[in-house]
Amino acid sequence: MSGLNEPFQTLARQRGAAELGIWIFLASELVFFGGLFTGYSVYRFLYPDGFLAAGAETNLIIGTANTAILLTSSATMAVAVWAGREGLRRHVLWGLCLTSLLGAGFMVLKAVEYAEDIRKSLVPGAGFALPERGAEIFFSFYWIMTAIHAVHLTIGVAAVSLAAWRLWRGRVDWRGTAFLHVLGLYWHLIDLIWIFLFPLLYLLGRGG
Amino acid sequence: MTEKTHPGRLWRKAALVWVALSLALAATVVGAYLDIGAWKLPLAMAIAAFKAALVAAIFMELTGAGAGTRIAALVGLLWLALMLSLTFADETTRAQSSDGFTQGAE
Repeated sequence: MSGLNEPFQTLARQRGAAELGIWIFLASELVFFGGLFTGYSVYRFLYPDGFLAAGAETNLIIGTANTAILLTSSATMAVAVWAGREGLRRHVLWGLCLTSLLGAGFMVLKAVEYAEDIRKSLVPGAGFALPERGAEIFFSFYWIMTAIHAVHLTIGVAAVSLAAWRLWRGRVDWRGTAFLHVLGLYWHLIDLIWIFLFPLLYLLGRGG
Repeated sequence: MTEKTHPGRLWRKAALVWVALSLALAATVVGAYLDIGAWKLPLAMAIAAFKAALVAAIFMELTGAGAGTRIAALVGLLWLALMLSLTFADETTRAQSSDGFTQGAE
């Protein structure tokens, strides 16, 4: 049976170990991003007005579009994993390719948004656009959190693209192994983090 | 493996979750414009938690996962909860008591 490695005696045992391993990694990622979320919360608590004024300056249209893109990519990734379990190679490839394209689309929109933020002088430091106390701190968190998220997404897009390529060339044991599931779990975590980043960074200071 | 699942069923299942997620996204954007004052943040966080729960339960298959996997995920959440609650136990109480101390010193 291909795909079975030492020291595992069955594929089920190997799958269980891989799944537990990636979840321990994801839990560590949760705490890693959690530190940023905690820092954000403390400063939002200290400077509520500055955060509202600064949050209103982010681009809600691009932010919402990117959230929709990531949610969609999680759905296509899930299809790839489920199809993999059924041995439906063509559907796995479709799922992986769509996921990777959507991830790349997110990054293109984010780059457009970053360029706009830079034009609007929303980069903390000399010449920062907003006078409110705490607004600069908000944008420090905005840049750090979205940039670290983008790094994770870049790794995700590269990993999913590589997986699709290797699967297409028949160079990976995806039948019966946890290969696709582990890849999918990492992708969904990127989505989970963004689900919380979106309301915290884009939905402040809107409406009444 | 028992009988083969029709591929259409996999796409439909994912599409169903996607529709729920998209409706939640629309709701959270509308919610940001509602005139509900201090309830905006709790509402946005509740919707985000709902979306995260959908992704974790169905896409990440946490509901069908083994005990070890679920413990790993819960431990991550536990540390996050500890970090937030202990930080705010300090931060919120510190702001309230600082005036009293400085008055005596002057």
